[in-house]
Amino acid sequence: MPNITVRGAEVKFPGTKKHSEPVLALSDVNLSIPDQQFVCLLGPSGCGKSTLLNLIAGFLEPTDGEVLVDDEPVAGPGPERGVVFQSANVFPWLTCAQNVAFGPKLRGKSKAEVAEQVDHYLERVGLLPFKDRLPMELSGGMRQRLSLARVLINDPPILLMDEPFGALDAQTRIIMQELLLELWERDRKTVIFVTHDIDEALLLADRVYVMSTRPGRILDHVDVPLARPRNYQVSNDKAFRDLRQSLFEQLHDDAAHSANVA
Amino acid sequence: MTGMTQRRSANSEAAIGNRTRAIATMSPGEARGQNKKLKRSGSMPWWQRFGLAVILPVLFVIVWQYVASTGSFGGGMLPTFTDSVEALRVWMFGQAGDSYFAGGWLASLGASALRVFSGFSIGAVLAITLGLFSGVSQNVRGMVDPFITILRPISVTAWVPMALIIFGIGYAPAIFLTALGTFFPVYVATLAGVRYSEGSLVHAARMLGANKRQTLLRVTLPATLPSIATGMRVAAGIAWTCVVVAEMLGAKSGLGYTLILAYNQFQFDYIAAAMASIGAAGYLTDKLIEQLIQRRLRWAMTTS
Ligand SMILES: Nc1ncnc2c1ncn2[C@@H]1O[C@H](COP(=O)(O)OP(=O)(O)OP(=O)(O)O)[C@@H](O)[C@H]1O
Ligand SMILES: [Mg+2]
Repeated sequence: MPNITVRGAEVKFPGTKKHSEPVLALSDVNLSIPDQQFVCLLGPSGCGKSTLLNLIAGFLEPTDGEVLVDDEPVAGPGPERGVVFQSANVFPWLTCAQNVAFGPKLRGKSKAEVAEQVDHYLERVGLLPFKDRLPMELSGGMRQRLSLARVLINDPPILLMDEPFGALDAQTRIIMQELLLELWERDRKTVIFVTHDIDEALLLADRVYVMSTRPGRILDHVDVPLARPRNYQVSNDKAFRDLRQSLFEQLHDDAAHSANVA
Repeated sequence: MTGMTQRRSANSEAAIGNRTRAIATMSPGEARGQNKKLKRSGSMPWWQRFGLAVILPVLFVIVWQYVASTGSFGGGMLPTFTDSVEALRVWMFGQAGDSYFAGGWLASLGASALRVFSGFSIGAVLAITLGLFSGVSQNVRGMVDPFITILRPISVTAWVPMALIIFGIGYAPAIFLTALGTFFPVYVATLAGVRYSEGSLVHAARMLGANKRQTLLRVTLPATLPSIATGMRVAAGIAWTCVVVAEMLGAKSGLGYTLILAYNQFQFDYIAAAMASIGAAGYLTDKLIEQLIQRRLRWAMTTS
């Protein structure tokens, strides 16, 4: 039973200036993502990855087509679809523990009731020693882990991640990717993970959707048959390298094509 | 100083919020460097800061004393610095009989402070509430903003006669005028802050499950606090101006009342004493608010 369905979705942004043309950010996008699948959206900058994610998150409405979650049209954001943003976006006036407790407290739980859970999720992302620190006292990677923890505590069946590790250095990035894989192996969720990094997509995903720009649309999808649980060693596999090569060619051809058109 | 902010159109308010946010939370010390190390090496030792700060007041006092004692200004009626200090001493600590004003200082200060505090609180609470709703609701903004833009150019001084007609003499008109003077800068700062802080953090709250009311109280309000704090600091200065004007024309107590009474009774040294008291009270109020801001808004002190 498909969990997330996008049918003929179009997003057209009106021009911001008086006479500027409207921007067609997404055109005729179709997706069908089954429960517990880990999906990556791969594509160049500006191809509409964030726009598509925002549609599913409910921050944005399609100008045409429909977005369904469990066969219900999406009407606004909700705690069953957790979002990890490109920039951590944690609440700067709350400590780490308070940030993680934000979701449960909205549902009327008291501080004492959630304390144990908060510690548990801080522990899982390795931030327990920092529970009483403010986000400004954390590094970028730690802030990103915090933003993951505050979503995980809500236990959402769907996790939407918009280039969450894009701003991190290579080492931190690997640590974060493996952390995410480990968390996902433990309690499977439907994950849509946006990236423009082929290796990241192949390391994480069951299926990679390749997107193309102007207008943003889905070119193709590739299933990743690599065995789980995966870790960084998987990039030495022949299957991994073949897939990387073919995805690279696909993105390259598309880029060359749009460069010719433009 | 607020005129600048007030004259901007609603469109540019978001940008102002951004800039004022930084100013609100920085003490002069902080403004010099973001982290501790920079701050230490870049800032001056206390005695140097103190030395610099007292140069102008000392010069001022010397010139004042000289000019007043030669009688070359104001037809010889200018009170000298030393006379004014003596007046302040009698006003503060004198026994009844020393002077009409003797021993009345604390009561005057208290009356003014009470009016400032009441008017400031009323004005700020109204402004923050209305500013928040204007910020998040286009309908409220569309209704409230034009009306406020019309009222804003009418100075508090221009409101005095009307306030006396409505409220009579006493505490009420002063509190009304102070609230009015407080309202505008706090409203503008709140609105600007809300519009600036809208967006990503609100999205984050919504996807974590917050409804509209929870988002307003738990995210928009705290995110707007640095901006509100800027508005409150500006407003505190204005509040002291308002209360003095109100007391000069429509009260029988307070520092402003003493000021005008001293004038009418030709006790000009008490005018200077009252002016100094007002300055000191305003200074202390500002320091108090700055302390509160620094304690509560530590999170806003970094640009990240
Ligand atoms: N609010 C908006 N108003 C107008 N145009 C927009 C808006 N948001 C996005 N766009 C346009 O839609 C297109 C897709 O944007 P989107 O942010 O989804 O790209 P992206 O794939 O996430 O890129 P990146 O990898 O750089 O984050 C871009 O051409 C962008 O200019
Ligand atoms: Mg994006």
